Amino acid sequence: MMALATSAPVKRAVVQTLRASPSLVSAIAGGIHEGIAPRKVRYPFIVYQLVSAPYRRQWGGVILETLFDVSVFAENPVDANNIDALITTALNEAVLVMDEQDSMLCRRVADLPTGPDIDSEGKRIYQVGGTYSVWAHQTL
Amino acid sequence: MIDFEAIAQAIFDNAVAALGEGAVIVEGRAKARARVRNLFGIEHEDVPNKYIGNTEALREARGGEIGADERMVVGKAPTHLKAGGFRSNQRRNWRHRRLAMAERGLADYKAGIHEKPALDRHGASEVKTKRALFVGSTKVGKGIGASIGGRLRGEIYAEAPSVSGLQAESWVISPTEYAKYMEFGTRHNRAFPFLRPAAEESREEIVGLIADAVREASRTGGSSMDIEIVVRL
Repeated sequence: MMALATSAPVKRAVVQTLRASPSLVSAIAGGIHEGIAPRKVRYPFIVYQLVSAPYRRQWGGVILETLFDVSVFAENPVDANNIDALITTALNEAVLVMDEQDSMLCRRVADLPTGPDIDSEGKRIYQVGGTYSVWAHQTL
Repeated sequence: MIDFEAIAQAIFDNAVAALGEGAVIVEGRAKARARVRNLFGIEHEDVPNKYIGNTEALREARGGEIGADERMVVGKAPTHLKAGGFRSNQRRNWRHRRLAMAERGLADYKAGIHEKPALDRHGASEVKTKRALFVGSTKVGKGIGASIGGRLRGEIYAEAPSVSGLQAESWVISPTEYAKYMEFGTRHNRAFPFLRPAAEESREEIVGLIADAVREASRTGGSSMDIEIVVRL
């Protein structure tokens, strides 16, 4: 019997898909970070976070239904929205490549209701992003 | 005669009630996931930080017997409470004790009495500015309850299902101002989602509840049927 795969390969596949987009990579000066970006990172940058990952068991397999928040932090709203659109292009309906799981679905399901914020240096920054639903099937 | 309208109404009412139950399940899960700030950074003589250790000590002293509900109150009893023994209203007193402990910790912190004060720096600031003080609807004694921390968790509630036409909806609400920042994160803090995971985890259970309710109503909905037998000769 195969070992149950966790959300880690899904996370890795999401980041790989983002990194595979040259226009997106050239647009983000601060890189891609999980959870929170370090203080001194340059804008704009991307932060992703796993929201939930419940398993749905079926006969002969298991589906991992993950939700990810992917946000852009930028110094102006235009950059933030443009990069968010690039992320959507890269991730929405993408087929993720994972070792032990099959990509079933990768879709943007919601926009994040976030707004401008002030960072530690007093600069106004804009957070724009969305929630992505990623389903991965594993045959057991 | 079969009153299909009455049967459909019975099914609908049962499904709405199940939706309400589902919302309560989500509320419970969201509360379990909502973060509570830990203000007590370092162990203090009155603050039992290591609950499990204390519980084990008590278990040993009692020859292996201890109630599950006694875990939270192990430690030194504050002087304003009855000395010794465990009381039936432990949870209420625990809230009171946390408040008293935090205030005492703040006083110690200000006076610099202890090298290792009960509150950490962040906790002292939270207590001083009363940001950590959450006054909720939970009753302590005869008044309104107050506790240190737990505001996010304490304010989550599920609304009763509302029906509009042939649709019903139920909301689980976290009205705390900073709930959004906890759910989605900010530049300074990572997200600690609590509402969406609770909803996602409960999805199947709620669908099951509603399906059961519909099944039950369609079975018992037969009581709305009245069979009229007419014999024609």
